[in-house]
Amino acid sequence: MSHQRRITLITITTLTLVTMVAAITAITVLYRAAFEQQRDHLRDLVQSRARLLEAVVRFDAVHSEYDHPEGARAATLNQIIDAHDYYEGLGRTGEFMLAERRGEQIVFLLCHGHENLDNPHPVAWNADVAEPMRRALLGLSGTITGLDYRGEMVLAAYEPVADLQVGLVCKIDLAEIRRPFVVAGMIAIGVAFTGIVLGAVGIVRLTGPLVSQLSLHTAALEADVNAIVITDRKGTIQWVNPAYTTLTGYSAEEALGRNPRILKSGKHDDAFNRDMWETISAGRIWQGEFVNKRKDGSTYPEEMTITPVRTGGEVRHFIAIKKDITKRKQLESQLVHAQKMESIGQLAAGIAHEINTPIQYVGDNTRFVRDSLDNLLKLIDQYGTLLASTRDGGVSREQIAAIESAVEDLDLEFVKEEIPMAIEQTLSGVDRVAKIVQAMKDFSHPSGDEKTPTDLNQAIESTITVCRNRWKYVADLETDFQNDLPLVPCHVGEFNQVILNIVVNAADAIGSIVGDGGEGKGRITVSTRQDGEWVEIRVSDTGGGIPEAIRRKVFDPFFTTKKVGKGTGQGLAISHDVIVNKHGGSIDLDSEPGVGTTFIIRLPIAEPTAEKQKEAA
Amino acid sequence: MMTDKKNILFVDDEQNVLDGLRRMLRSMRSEWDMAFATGGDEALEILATKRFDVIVSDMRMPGMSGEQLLIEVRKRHPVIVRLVLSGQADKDSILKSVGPIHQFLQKPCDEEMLKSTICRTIEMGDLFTDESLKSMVTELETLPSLPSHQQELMAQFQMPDVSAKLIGESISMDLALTAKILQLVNSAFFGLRRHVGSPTDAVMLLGMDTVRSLVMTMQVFSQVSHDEIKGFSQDALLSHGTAVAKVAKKIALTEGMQPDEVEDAYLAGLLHDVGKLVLAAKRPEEFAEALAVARSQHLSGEEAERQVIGASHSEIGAYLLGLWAFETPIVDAALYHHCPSKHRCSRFSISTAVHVANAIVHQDPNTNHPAELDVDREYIDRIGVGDRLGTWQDASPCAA
Repeated sequence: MSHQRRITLITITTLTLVTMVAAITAITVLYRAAFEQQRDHLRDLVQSRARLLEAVVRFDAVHSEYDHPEGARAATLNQIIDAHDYYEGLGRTGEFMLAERRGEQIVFLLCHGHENLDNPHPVAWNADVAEPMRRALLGLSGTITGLDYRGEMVLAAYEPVADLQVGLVCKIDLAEIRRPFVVAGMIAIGVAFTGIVLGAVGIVRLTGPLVSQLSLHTAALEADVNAIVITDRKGTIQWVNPAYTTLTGYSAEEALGRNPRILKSGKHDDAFNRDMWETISAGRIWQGEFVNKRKDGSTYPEEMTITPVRTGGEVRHFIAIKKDITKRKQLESQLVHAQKMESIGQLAAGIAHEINTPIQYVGDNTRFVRDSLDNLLKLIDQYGTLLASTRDGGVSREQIAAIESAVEDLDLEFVKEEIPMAIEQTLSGVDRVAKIVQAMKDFSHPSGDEKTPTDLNQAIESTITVCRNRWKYVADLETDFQNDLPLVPCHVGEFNQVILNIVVNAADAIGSIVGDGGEGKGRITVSTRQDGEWVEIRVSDTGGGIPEAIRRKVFDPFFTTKKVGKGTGQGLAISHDVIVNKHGGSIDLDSEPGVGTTFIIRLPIAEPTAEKQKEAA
Repeated sequence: MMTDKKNILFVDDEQNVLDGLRRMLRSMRSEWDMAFATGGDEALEILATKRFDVIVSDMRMPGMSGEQLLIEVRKRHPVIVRLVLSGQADKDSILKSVGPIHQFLQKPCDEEMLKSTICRTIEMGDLFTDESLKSMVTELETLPSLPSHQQELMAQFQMPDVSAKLIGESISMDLALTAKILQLVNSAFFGLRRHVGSPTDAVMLLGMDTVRSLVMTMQVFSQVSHDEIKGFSQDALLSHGTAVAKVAKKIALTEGMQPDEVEDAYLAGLLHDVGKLVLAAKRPEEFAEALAVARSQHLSGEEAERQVIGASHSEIGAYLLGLWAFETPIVDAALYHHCPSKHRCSRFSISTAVHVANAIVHQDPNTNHPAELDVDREYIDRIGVGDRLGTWQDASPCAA
């Protein structure tokens, strides 16, 4: 049975029962009143008749004792019977009875009914029937409901007529009294039932669409894979859907009546929560990402939209739609990681080049020093011999000639001049390799979940070193760092990625203008400054600038102006995500076509709060 | 005797690298006159001042890149041997600039490697007295290859799941392609530690895509087609080369050479006449004349070529192979395949195998007696393998 039909039937049955009870009560009260009235009427009637009869009897006893062949009593009876011939009344079943007791029988002298005036058969004195008459004949006066001579239930008034030794009964069938009420009851029930059925059907017809829509809405909310919570104004949970249970581990029974704070993970500060409450209390939609705690204690990231629900123009409820974004978070971090791997891959060849070059001259210089040293040592030996010979006083021409030729072979002037430089350059080459290796290590620093206080100058320096091969052919790079820059809480790996993206973009922008640097190089300037609670990093290039039309698109994912295979269009989109969403900072650009572009990154020195995040946005 | 010194120009955008080279190569100052330039423009200016023998350039430099510089050098001074000394590790960008480069040296490059590479190219260049003959080889980027083979090869690349083996075999049916691919894979372009002797291995190492783009590049070059030369056909040259390669391989096997050497023997056989391809491409008239002279005066091809052109296909082929970084035994085999007695080496070598194989293939099938073989008897006796000729002849596939 459908829900709707059940409701219909229950409605009809209830209404019918209620109506019936009301009708029966009303009719019963009315009937009682009518009954009492009838009884009074019958009593009045029978008493007045009796008194009249007694009067007539008395009169006849004085005046008609002898006029009438059968005596005064018969005269009285005859007169009464005669009188009744001209009398109509007492309704359909009303009867006026006169009877006397003859031995063990009740003999009816007069029976004034509607149909005829024939007297009914006498009944036995001790029979069950004719109770009213029996009472009258016993000299009792009153009213009774009981069986009359026919054995019918009647309302009767009885009165003895003392002088005549007859009993007088005036009665009416109970059925007649009841009849209008029964009819009225039947009509009332019929009308009511019809009305109820029609009304119910009509109501069902009218409300049916509403009901089915309501049940559809409910079913939809229940079926939704997003967890949905409805709370009242104070935040008490009124309703949750099954997805809520799946997401949080709390069943509907456990959640109802409680506050959504049961999921609080403690990972958000008060300002964050206050901001949320202020927003929704003001009737605005709040959207954001949460880290929440399940019933079992595990945490998960969720995206939540809280919408104030107005009923009657007033916010009475909030509906929160929560979405588990664990997968998305994973994908996001994978994407950042993938882009990092991609850029490391692209950088690897450049870094190899950067390292191979100093190693080349370190090797060359060292070989030169080794060979020169060999020759120098030999020369020193020869000088030693010369010294010994000088001491002995016998320096030969040959010895001098040998030394002169050795000096010439050795190219002594050249060696004296070059060795210090060779060593200097070797050391600088070693430093360069060490610096590149260190920068590579810094750059590929794995990002943990937590931000660490970071020296941004050093991070930027490393990143610039790592990608040196990408810019050095097209541009000179100048750094303008504020030396006493405070440490900034930072996911350093991801921050490096952002700087890399922007510096490489700058180099590419310059490259597309200066070609391979034949026309002179461009310039990239990277600066850091503290600005109150913020650190500002500016990366300027002397490239072609970004046309107004696409300036707003550069942070869109997959937007790229580079050739296929040159860029994925993810770099700046990821940079934006890293700076704005992960660090609560901002990234903007300032570009003048033909002059160049400046990217401005601002990072908060203190851990970002919700307010600051808003401010930054 | 300043004029006997070789002039070598080093180009690198990093002064430190040039300083290091200058110091390290100071010991060569009696043989080389070295100049150093920090950029392409400066290099071209220096080159204009006097005649240079070798240029060693970096690849990535601001302004003019090494590739651009070497293209310019090839145009202006074709005779100069063009070497690259680069720290570049990006395979794709190297491949793109392979055209004007004879040999690629990877930074860091040690003293011995650098010296020996330069010395060898200089030494090979000394084979020629005629500058124009030398530049004929140095200016060559690719050899003419057979259009029909290339079409077949391109069709094979279109096939789904074509194997490296099939492509490798197709490539070995074309001397020009074989030579170019092996040049690529064996010069330090790809930083391979071991020597690669077969086109199939080369295809596997280079990858299908690289080989395909290479074949396409060569297709463009070979559209500069050569005139018909009487008495010469690329097909005949190829089938002769293949035949000699097979016999040389057999001989090497019979003599118990190492697998690498056996492979080299095959390759040496295949490429021993590559000089003829250079002559047909660059000096078709003179080459035709030499062939005519040989026929009319009953001279050997070599003698006729020397008479008409001034150098034989042996020297020209050997110079090309040397410039293209082929292993010394292969270069020697090409150089000495007609006159092994000039070879310094007095033991059995790949040169011996190719020389004998060439004779076996040239021999009239009806007179297959060892005594009839047209070999350098003096040389054979000197290295003491006279008694082996019969065995080799019996082992060779043509004798069967």
